[in-house]
Amino acid sequence: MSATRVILGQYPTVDSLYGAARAMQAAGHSALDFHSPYPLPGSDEVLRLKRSPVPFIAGAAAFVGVVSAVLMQWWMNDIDYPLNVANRSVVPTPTWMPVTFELGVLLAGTSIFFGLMALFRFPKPYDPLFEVEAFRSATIDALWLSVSVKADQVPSVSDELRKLGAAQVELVPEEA
Amino acid sequence: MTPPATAAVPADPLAPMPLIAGHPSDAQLNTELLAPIFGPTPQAWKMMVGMAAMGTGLLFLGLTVTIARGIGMWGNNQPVGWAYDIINFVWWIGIGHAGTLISAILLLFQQKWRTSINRFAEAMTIFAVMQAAMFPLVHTGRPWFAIYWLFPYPSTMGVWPNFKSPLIWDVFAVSTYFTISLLFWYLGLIPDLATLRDTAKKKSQRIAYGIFALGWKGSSRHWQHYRIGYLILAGISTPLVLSVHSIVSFDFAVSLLPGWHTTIFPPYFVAGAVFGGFAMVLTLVIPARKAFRFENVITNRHLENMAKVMLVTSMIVGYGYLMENFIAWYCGNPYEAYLFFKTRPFGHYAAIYWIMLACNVLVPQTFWWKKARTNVAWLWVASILVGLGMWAERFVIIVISLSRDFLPSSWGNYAPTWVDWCIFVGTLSFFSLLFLLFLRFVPSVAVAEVKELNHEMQHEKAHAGEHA
Repeated sequence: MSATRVILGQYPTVDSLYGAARAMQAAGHSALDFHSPYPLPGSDEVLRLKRSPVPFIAGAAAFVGVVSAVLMQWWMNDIDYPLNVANRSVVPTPTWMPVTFELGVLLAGTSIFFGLMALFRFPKPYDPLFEVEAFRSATIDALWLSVSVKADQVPSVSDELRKLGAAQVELVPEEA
Repeated sequence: MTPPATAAVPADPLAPMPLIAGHPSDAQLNTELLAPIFGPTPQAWKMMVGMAAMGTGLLFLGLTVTIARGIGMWGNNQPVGWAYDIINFVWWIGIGHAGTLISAILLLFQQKWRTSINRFAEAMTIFAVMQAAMFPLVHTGRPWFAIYWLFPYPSTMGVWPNFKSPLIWDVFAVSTYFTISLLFWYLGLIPDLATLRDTAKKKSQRIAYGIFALGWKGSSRHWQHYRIGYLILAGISTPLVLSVHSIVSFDFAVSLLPGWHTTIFPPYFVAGAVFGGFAMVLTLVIPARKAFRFENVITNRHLENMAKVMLVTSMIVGYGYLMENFIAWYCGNPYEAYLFFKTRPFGHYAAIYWIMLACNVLVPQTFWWKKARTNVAWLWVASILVGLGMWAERFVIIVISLSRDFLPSSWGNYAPTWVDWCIFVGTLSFFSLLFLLFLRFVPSVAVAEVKELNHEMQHEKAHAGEHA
């Protein structure tokens, strides 16, 4: 079995980056990614990414927050320790709305943050990519394409990336 | 060497000033925006940090005295049971709101001018909410006992919080607001922390920023989820910010006291919060952009837009004052009328009432003139006056109503003690200290977002050329 290696190619423009990605896809490489200092418009289509589950996560969490807030207030103030304030009704009252709303927002917001962390598999402060000194420019001013290939394909894919206009090509060291 | 990105003045006087001056490259923006972090420590910064740290000492002194000897050390007493503690709470929370407005609501409305100032504003929100949360907590007298009626946890007392009380709504609103603001701010910071990690030359800085960047590598697969997550967070922060100050206003509006028991309070409080908060953004941004030479990304157009927002919100607040007076007359309630037409304008605290009107209603009227909106020195002075005016507004609402309620036999005036002053000045200092540290160690302008905006603008310009 041959191990997988990651090759990085830096491209001067978004068009050349997308062109290289499409050529790689045509050659049968699907494990591609772009690295850029800001989100690139149209990258989702080029990489053929599926819809993000983040809205679903947030919606589900908001629902859980709202339901648990209603149940909590009802159980605490009407069942476990009935609190009769001026003989107001015990069924859902307008006085429950603020806490219900806030808990819905709280759960939706925290689930987005921690959901993103789970999707990114963060925190991951070390990544072999960071061993490549030139790759530091990916968060500053350069556009990079990364391709995961089998170890024996490294020379041919590196040549191919150069032919597609890469200003520089780097091989990511193997994970220790 | 690349030429510096110098300010370009558009020839057409009707064309808006550019949001980013000149045509900087990504690398130039990177260098300019991160300069405050990698550059040498300015002497002025050290001096200001020293002063803010000393002021923070006052906060700790005030809090220590309060906790050791009880809240009897404050000037509050019957009938004025709420005074500096609640005034400062409402004032600080209000200041925080402009941060969320700039970062979330302007993002949803695709107002691109928010990009350069949103990080400042979000930091301001978090630091302001930290100051605000301190007041009601200490006001409980013994915060270590207060927790069982603030948060629903199964305590040995066997009781639960009363969810019909606006004070409990406040606990949920403020803690949710702080949590969501912090996550929103940190999420926005992650790409910039990665940029810092990759720009840093020292190994210690690379490691420190690397830990906080969590492993961000600018991957498009990550950007896809990130953008959607950021947008939804903005989407839910928008009703959140409106709810928080509405709930704060319920603390008053749900009671029966003259001057508090009105239905106009929620929108009036929200507008006041945005008004005071924008003033605080200007108070902070004007010296910071000068000190760190951010004039290219925080242009006069940003300052002018903020002045316009202040003008609008000032008029909403002014309308609130007018409506309060109208209702006091129209409802025929003698207690309301006495408060609005005797106590406020001519009573013991009349000076504070007139300061409120002058600062909140008159001062922003100057912003009808472009000359006033683009005069940076006047903007700064006006922003401080508005901050003062909004503080006076909370004093007028809270202290005046409590000091003259229904029975003349229960009237009484309030005067702050040295402990009240220590805590108030202390929170101002602690806020400044946190803000100064933020300016030095964290990218105070959202670098990734400015780069994205820069590319969008250059793209638009190129396409405009094609169509011409």
